[in-house]
Amino acid sequence: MGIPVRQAVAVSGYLMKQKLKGNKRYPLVLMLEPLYRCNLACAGCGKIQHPESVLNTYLTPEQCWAAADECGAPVVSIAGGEPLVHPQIDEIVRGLVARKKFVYLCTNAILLERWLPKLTPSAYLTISVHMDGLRDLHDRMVDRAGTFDRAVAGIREAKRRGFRVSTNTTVFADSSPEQMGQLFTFLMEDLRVDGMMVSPGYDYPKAPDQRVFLRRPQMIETFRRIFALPGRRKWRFFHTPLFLEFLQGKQAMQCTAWGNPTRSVFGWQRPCYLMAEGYVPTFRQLIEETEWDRYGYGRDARCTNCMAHCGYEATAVKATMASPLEGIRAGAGALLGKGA
Amino acid sequence: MRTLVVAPTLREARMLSGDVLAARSPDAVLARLAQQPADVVLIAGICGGLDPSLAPGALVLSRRLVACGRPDLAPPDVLVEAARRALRTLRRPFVSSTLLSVDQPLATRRGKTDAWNTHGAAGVDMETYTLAEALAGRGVPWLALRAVLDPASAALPTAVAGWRGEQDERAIARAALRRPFDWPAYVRLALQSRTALGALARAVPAVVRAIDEIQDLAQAPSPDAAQRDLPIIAVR
Repeated sequence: MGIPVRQAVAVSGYLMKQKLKGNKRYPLVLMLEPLYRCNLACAGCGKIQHPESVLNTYLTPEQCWAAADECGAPVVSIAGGEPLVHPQIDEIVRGLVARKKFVYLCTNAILLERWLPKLTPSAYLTISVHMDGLRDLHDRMVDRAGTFDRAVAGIREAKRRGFRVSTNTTVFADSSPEQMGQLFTFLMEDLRVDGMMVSPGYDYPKAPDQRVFLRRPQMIETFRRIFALPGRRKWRFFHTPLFLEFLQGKQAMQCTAWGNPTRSVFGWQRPCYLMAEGYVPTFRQLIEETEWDRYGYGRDARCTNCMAHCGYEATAVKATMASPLEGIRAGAGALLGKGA
Repeated sequence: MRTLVVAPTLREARMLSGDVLAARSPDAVLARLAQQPADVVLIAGICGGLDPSLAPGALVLSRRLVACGRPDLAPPDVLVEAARRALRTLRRPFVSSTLLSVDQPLATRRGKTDAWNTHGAAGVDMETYTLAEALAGRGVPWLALRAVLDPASAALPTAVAGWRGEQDERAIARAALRRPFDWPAYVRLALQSRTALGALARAVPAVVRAIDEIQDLAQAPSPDAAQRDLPIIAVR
């Protein structure tokens, strides 16, 4: 299956409720960063360059739950840092699942096998494993040998224990379309993951290696080639068809930065998951006091090469809801297991 | 601070108040400035929407101008910031973004999507770049404000797609009459035109007032504005 029907129905209901309430800006996915500490130092990551004092700061479970309650998004993506470094991650997940949030626990899976006995499979929990390529490419991108094998072992064990497992792949300059195609086929056919997510890398100024990032025209070309590969029909993505078309330059979209608000150890991050211009203590302040019209492709130079799902999937979901035809296409994808 | 408002067509000029000149040609604008100097020229009119988040009537304030194969142009930061502040008080949707100038209307959805992906421009028109280039050549500060007529998701009807800036719109009307299947699209366009021109009519006086209040055009931009005006380098 692609996106679970239960999740698709819950998210659709939530969106309709927001529409009926007349809310102009509302969150779809809470990006929860309970810590910045990570056990890897990936070439394209701009999240973990903080002093030790910050890296040693973790959100408590209560703070995480309060963030989920405050923002109200139906989906919570736990990122970081590496969430499995957090000593209370099982407690955080349990609390979010109890609130009927659809939780995506994003991990590099190095510690996954250790944590699995403490987590409970649920329709509300998806373990989302970071996979940037097959062995050589993945280990090079995360700058640590053996990580690919650990991730594969973690995925197999999670599947064996009955967890829903997805993968999250970032496409960089070194990722050839053919390599990406081989990876997706491997993930679907060998590991039998429930779905995949894919996004071009964002050119974080703080990332250790700036050469890994694609420019927007290259991204479009790369995704066109990836989706023209013969095995494409067997791949299931946890994305709307519109977002996948956007990646191939077939759809024009503007970023919906407020669709994926970010709560980190500093507070609510302004304006989006990828850019940090400051922090505010409450979600309401984030939504009401941010000058949203200043951000987005064509409006801010830092958004020029961003086509990340954290900015554009919310746009695609809204467009899907607004168009009966797109709604049917996405619904059919979810029901037929072709990915939304 | 004296501001001359330049509207490319009579239809646009008629909606605007104050010192307004209807002109598409840089020569006409420069001739007018020679007779009656102005401190700032505000180029105001309607545009095609490329930014898919903009509906008809949304305003595009130029932060940068692009045209294929030509160097980018940018208005003074102090003008952009003053206009932004004025537009915020209007509580109408607006963005300060890039404007693309082309030789002929972008009539198809596909063409608009490609232009959006290539240039990251919020709107597209046929005059701003040429006018701004001439003004910049004479050292006249300029600013452009456009209201979205047709959104990124809409194609233009055939007769409008063939428009090349003629002031006489009777030829378009005649061509439209010959294609009854396009009539609903013209009705929609007429309604959108009303919305866009209405938005422009409300926004231009506010921007002119904000420009009037500027004491010194050479005043330094805020660090925030400078940060945002980093060149968009990757899309051309």
